[in-house]
Amino acid sequence: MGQEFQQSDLRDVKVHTVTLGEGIKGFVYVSQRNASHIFIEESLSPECTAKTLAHEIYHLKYDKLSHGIGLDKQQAESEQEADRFAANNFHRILPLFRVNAI
Amino acid sequence: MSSVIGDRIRDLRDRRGFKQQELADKIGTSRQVLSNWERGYTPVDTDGVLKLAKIFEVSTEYILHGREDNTISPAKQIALALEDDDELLAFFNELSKREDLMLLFKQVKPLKRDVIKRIIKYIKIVEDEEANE
Repeated sequence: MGQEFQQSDLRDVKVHTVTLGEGIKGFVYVSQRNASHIFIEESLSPECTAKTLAHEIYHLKYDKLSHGIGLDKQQAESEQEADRFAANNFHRILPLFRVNAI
Repeated sequence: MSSVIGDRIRDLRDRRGFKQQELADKIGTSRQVLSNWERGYTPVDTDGVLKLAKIFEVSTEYILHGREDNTISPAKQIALALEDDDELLAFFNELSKREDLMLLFKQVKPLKRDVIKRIIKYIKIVEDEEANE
């Protein structure tokens, strides 16, 4: 607990809003060249987008154990941690979208 | 009336992208019988459980009781969704060898075949672009 989102968390992360489809809000992928990519479903509301983004940032920044491929409830505990982080921090991310939208 | 076994069958069928008729043909039964299993109108017979387990590559235990540890691994699930696309499958097989692989999904329900395909396509685009930088 206690982790807080900083704008610099997004500095080295490429965020892509794309069509993903039913059942998934986003995913995080670290490429072979060690670049961090977050993909977010484009049809989500701004709030939901910010929460999903915060959730994925948690995985990238704090969730050192989660290497591998995570689907379903495979990583239940770290998913819950990421959700807590998202709930506590999405309001810090939301303004960034409003700025970008202008 | 709903049935947890029926829900699991429909869930597995959705994940593999089969229509009811397609799955019924593989089992060797009619679409109506399969539909009745999925909706819990009639119980699945022993032969049906065995065939479903074989087709979906899960244990009979999973079909009957839904124990998570008997489900197919995420990597296997993705590979199955890509089985009709040689290029993407070859790409994913290489990718899944990476020891530092980090690929995590924020999902609200099991992913369908076309969604999994789209995800791997996006990853391939990213890798192709970075290779050309």
